[in-house]
Amino acid sequence: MMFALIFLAAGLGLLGLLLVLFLRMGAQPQDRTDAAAATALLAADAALWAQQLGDRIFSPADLEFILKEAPSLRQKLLRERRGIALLWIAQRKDAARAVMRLHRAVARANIALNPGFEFKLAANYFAFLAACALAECLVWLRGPFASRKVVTSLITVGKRMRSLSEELLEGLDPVLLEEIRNR
Amino acid sequence: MNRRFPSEWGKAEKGKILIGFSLFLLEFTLAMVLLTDIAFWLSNVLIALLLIQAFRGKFFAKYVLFFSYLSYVLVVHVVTVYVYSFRPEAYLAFYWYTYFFGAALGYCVIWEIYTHVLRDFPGTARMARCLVGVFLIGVLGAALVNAFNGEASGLVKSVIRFERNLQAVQAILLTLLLILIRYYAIPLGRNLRGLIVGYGFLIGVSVVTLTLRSQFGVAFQLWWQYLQQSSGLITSVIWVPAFWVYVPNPKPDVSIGLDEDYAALTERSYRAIAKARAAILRVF
Repeated sequence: MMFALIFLAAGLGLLGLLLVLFLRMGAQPQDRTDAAAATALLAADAALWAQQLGDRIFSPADLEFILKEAPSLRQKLLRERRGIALLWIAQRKDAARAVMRLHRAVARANIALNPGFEFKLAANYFAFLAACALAECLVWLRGPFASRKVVTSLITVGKRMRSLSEELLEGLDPVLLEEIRNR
Repeated sequence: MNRRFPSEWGKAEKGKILIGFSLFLLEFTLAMVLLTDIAFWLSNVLIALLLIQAFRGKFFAKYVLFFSYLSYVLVVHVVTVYVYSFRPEAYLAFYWYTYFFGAALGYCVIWEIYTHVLRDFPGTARMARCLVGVFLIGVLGAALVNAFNGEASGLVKSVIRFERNLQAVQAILLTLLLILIRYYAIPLGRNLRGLIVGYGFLIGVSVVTLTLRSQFGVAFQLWWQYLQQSSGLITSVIWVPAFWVYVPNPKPDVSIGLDEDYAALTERSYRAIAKARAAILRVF
């Protein structure tokens, strides 16, 4: 039965992909990538600027100031800051898409393409998109200031679990433990 | 009004309903058989039309393997009708010989699709060689494991499962190519797009119907034949307008170039994406 499901998935998956290809028949591929714009995005300072802006958007300093000086404006601040945060995340995604579009347009015609690098880059890119999706969900559900605390807690829990597992593993052979740590 | 619920129906009424339903099933089956025959002959007419147009337009040689496959299918269909009608004792041998050669031609069509799509994109071609290589090694490995385990292979267990496995390999090869086309935004011309959509549809439906046939057995036989012929007809309908005139594939935009090599570009792209991801996660 399991094999039958796998084969059915293979057949239906192909039909689904064909449908996607068919539906996008009218859309012209974006061959004309703006190389200059994407090259600018690759510059290190663009990423640094984005980081500083993100820090400012999600910083609780403005919320603390409003709560102290004008508590009645709290909801308005949260609403507008949520919109700005989502816009910032969307801009990060657009920037990454432009970088990837340029990379793929150059790489597909380059005989020196390295499949290993391509897989690594693709994995990194999809991990980035997943992080953006998670960030958007959190900002929508909890707002830009509260969601910061949730993710910080998640990271703290993860670190705690890691230290716990290391304590449990202390009874193991040290060589084996070192091997596990280095994985 | 004096209405009676089904539970109150008499034997005569229930008998009438049973006879009516049986007649309906019989008529439905006959209609399906007739439609199957119509679909079979209509698809052959469309294939013949397509081959004539390819000769007239002088683009038979542009997709030589594909048109050879179509020619073979047309000839085999016509000869099959003759053998089945007048030489039924030779039908089984004829079917198997022609099936294996047809399957080999099918793989040649897949190869031709790959060649045409990736001709102007050596980077993507290299990626395709890697993916297809890994996949075929996996298939070979699975076949060897089955052989060494002493388990009966698909060929011995069931003819239908063997056909299904052959088609499934083609389906996965096409899927890999579609993923590459989508990821690297490879432009497709009208001919190539029609070829991929039509052949992919044929293979996809074939895998699904063969899987269902092998699961449900003879109960699915009539539906299998109907779906097979229908998918053949739909595929022909896709191919005829796609190949009515020859349209060369669009060339890639060579204006995109950077003054750095591939490795440096990949490294910069990787760092840019990694920094963007860190920026997203850092704010939390």
